[in-house]
Amino acid sequence: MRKLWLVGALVLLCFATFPLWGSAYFVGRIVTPALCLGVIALSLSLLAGYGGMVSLAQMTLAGLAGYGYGYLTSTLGQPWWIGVLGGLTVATLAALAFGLIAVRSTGIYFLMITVALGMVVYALANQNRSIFGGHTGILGIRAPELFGHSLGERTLFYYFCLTIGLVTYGFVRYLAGTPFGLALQALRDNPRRLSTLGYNVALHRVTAFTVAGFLAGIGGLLLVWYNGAISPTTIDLTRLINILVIAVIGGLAYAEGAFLGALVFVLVTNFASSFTQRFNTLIGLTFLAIVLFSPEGLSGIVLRLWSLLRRTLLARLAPSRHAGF
Amino acid sequence: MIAVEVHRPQTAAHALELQGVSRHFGGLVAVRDVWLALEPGERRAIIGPNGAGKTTLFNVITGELRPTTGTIRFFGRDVTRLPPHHRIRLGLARTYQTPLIFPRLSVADNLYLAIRGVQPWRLSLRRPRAQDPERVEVERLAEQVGLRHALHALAAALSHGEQRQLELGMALASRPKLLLLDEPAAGLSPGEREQLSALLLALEPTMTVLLIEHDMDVAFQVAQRVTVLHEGRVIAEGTPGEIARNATVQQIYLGGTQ
Repeated sequence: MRKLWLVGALVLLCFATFPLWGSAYFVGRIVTPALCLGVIALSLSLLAGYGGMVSLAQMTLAGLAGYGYGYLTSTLGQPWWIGVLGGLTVATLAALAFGLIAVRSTGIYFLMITVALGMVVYALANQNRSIFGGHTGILGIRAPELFGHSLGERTLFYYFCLTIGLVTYGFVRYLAGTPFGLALQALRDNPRRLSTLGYNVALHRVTAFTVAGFLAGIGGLLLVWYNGAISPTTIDLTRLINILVIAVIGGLAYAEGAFLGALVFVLVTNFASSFTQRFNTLIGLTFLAIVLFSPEGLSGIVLRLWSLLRRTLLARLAPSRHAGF
Repeated sequence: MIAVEVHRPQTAAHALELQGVSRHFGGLVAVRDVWLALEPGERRAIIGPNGAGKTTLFNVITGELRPTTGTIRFFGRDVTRLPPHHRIRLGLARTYQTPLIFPRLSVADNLYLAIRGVQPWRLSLRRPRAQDPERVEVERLAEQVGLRHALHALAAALSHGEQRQLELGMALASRPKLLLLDEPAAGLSPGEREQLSALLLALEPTMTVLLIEHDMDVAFQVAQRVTVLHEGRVIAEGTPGEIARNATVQQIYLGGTQ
């Protein structure tokens, strides 16, 4: 397991130097959007992997942050930092409200309530023109400008997304070892026991949902800067489900899985469309295959391959005591 | 719904007092008009055949179930309407018939959560450090329940007996004033039973203990008084000796029908 650190460092090195050797297309159109989606999927990993709450509203919360930023900066002409604060506040408060509504139910019921909430916001965004811009949404949203450089510049934006991805990933990993994170995992395993240890389970669920909403909001800001616009299509049912697909492909239980899943998802959707029009079918089949053959997602497969490789290597390196063949 | 407030100031002396507590499930009456009072520091066993309502009574005491009628007082305070986590914070702790632990967390983390559960800032975002008093306490608890060797093992990897030890450790972690034990000896080997009795007898004398037990050896060894529950009703109460000689109890336990 210690060698996994080495693998992690190598992966990080690859990502850090990627704009130097990767094509502009791969940097700008594959890895960057994968990082944006990865942060949103990470908020689901936190909820589902640690807390056992499978939410389909994470894209909605991300979208609300995007709408908040777009409305404040593009429609009202406020500076970018007001847009950032406003967007994150909207996402976090919406998550708090969603949480208060949804946390009394669990499992499939929780999932359905979050879908319903997501669809309410979708319908609202589609019909409200004054704030959400109706069917067209909000156009011409610009990324912040810092020291004369627009964050929208391809390489700069790539590094920015990478940094945010690392920070949010580190945050989720750190959280797992805190009393908050431990209680969250305990809640996933046995909510009744947690309450007879003195914890307010409903409060903890709402808090976790709110924290995850904040994370999703960060991902939503990245996504709206990447797209430069936001419309109801960004938060329609397909996009909501995509986040779950990404997290499951990567492995719900692993924070790394969110980014791995997002990368695979963006790759498949980009390249499948060049040889088939049925890329949704392809994504669906990939999803099914993962769920059937590796419930722990690609992260689970990678871990299994890694331990297999190690055992094989160790067996090769160790002098054979069997003289049979 | 309307609980009659009986004004009796001296009730403050009781660690736990149940006043006419009943619990119905539809037409089934699981617990029927139970009156029970435990002195602080008392060790009381509840015995009774399967389905007597013992575990339901525990669930009502902790707040996992609301009583249909009756009042529950904890050191004089009416807790009938308090949710479980509030009652736990007042100094109540319990174990379950089948150990309820967090299988995917380590033994140390299970105990740590149990300690933090009754402290403020239980949802802190600060990672515990090795020198934290709670971490030291985790080791002491593990020692007390004989799990020092398994501190970093996943709880799921423990044997059934060890899971019981862990659960007992989690119940003791909050330093409760009243400890409820639901069949602590169930599924234990004779050797483990002796260890359990020794552990229970070594508990601080101020701790009030209420235990459900099928194993008469453990129950009569640990408890000063025994309450017999049958079909949701208290049918006898007394010292272990009195209960052992009680004709009704013998009839129930030796398979007679009334």
